Amino acid sequence: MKKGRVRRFDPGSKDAFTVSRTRIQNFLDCKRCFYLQNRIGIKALGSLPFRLNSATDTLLKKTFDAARKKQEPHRYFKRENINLVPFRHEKINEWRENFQGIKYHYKKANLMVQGAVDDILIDLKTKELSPVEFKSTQTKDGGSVKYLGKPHHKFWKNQLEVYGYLLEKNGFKISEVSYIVFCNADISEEEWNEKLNFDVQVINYKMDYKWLESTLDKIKELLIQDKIPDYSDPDHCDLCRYLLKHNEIKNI
Amino acid sequence: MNVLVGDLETSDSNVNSLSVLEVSFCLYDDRFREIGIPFHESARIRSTCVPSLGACLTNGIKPDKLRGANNSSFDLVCKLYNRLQEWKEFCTIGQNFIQFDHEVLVRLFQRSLLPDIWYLKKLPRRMMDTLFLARASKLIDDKSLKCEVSAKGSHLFKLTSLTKMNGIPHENKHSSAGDVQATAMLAKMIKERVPKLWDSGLKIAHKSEAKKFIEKNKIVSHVAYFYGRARWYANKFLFYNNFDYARCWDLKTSPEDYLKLGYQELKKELKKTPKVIRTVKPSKFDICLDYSYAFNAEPYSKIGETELRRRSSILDANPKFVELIKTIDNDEIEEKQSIDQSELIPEFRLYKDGFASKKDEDNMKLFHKMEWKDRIKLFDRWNNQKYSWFNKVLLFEERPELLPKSVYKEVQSEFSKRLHTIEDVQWQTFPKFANELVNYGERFEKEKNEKGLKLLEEYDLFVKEMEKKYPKP
Repeated sequence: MKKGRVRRFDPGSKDAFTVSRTRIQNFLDCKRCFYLQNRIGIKALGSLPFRLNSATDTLLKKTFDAARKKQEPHRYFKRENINLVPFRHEKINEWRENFQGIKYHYKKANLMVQGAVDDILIDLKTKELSPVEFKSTQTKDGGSVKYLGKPHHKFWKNQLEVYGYLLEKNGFKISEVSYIVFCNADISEEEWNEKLNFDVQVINYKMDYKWLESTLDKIKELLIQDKIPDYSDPDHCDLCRYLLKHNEIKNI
Repeated sequence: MNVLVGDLETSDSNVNSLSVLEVSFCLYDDRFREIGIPFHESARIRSTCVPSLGACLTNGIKPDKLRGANNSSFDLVCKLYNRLQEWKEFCTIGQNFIQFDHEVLVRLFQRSLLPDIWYLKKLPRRMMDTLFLARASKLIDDKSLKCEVSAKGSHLFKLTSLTKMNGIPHENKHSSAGDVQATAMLAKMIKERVPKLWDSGLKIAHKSEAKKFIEKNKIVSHVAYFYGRARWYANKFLFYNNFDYARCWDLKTSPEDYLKLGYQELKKELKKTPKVIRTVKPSKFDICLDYSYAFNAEPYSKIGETELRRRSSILDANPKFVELIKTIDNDEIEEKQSIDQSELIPEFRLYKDGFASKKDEDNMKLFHKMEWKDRIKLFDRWNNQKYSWFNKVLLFEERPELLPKSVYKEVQSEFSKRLHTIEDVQWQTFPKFANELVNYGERFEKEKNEKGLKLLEEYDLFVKEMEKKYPKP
């Protein structure tokens, strides 16, 4: 595959086309950009990797693994009196691995839906599973994050709902409640001793993934069409706004 | 985006002088599932405010509640303000919220010396109104909502009527908590049944975004509501006037015949009805959608898109004509403002005085950090005397024992004058209350409504007690 080109949908192929939860979000964000990437094969603009966030994810995963081994609630959940333990399953590492994840073949649209979850909890009494997502950042609005009211929180909710859907479709019993482990870096220290401390909150979110299959149907509808969608609302998609402005300048 | 549904119950309908008796706000996620703990609080009536019998009877607020609620008006507003700050980012929605509840809250914040009186309207927060959405929803898709029809043939959009007609559970009608639940369900219904309207509504739920929408689209479908009916207008945006309202040309009329008119002739023509210049208020959630809705409705559909676009292009090609309309428009605003010379009392000066100065804002912040006993020290430190007055009134209402005698007398005598006046003022007075009492008394006697008559006695007793505090001037 040439540099700058990506895996794309082939209308003639009978193989299921893989859509990760990121691509589903891309579709929701901008139909044109999604089409350009997934049908035409133009790679979307990349961003620098978030190494610090990945580092907290890795450390959190280790602590969840320790709790999994003991089959006891993780300390953050214990603190909140949430009596769920990390789910023990032979595929747990695969499900947490990027580009692997939990998969489900949605036959109606012949799409392979995929998403790598950060962790999964189980209620040992009801055997219901709850997906968990780790988020780390630095914000002064840490107290209001629990309301999940900012525009980017919509992505988090969608993310958890894709995982909930995938787990259910893989035959597991699912709790309607999912969790976000939110780590907010504390920058209040006057002097820095080369350590970053975090305020950690467990935020629950009630999932409702009714929207997902109709979205997958719409993704398929878009992928099989031969026409590139118009530019999205410039208020909505940064890339479309940039390209529109770029074209205006080009035409001067 | 999370949706914050709110409702207030008040002692009167005049936003400048009423007292807030009950406040409910409930936060929902974008699928209308409740998040966190709702805010439900009630407050005693302010000691400077006479209740309106009509409002109290409609809202079921009894005299014991007027005097007995745990919070004072000031306690209530401080609690609410803190909770709003915790909720941070949301789109507020309510039934007739923009024209009434929000206007009440802004004034309540101002009277309580809170520095950020426009908090609910400031980005990233936004504001919508189920009343406007319901009217537009009915216009877009008649089947989307069932409405009662009045004797005059107009659709009714009162909350109680909409909930009854559309099977929305509505317990505790006219209590703020009951109305909030019902409003949330109504909003959810509109969102699900006319999703395009909801999405467009969110796009214009903040003034700056509404302006952007109008400027970008140039021609918009505007929902105007008058004489009990909602109707479409295909509006071509021209300019913003001195109130920052969008002034638009109604494309029903071709501008050609107006182009050659001079200042006076044009001014005369623009005054004629039906008006060719229409107003869209971006700050008031005036519903605007893309041009297609109006273009497909009569009379625009008969005129046809080609002709409508031609009319629009005439306006584009004649910037001097548009400039002349703007001059006429702004001259009229100035004329009206210069006619209005009446001295407004501080409570009525929200818009008249503009924003608070930096010094006054700092004083407000200081006021809220201080203990009551220290707050009297601020009396002379305000730039705008309106705030000094609010400072004194707050002490008078909340901690009169801390006031120096002279200040106590100053406030008492002002309210004695205001509350005993027999002039036709905009606030509730003792004589107005007495009049209401007689009217309701006669009605209840006719109806043989013993309970009602007993209740009137209780209200009367409450107001008589209040009157003792304000001797006739």
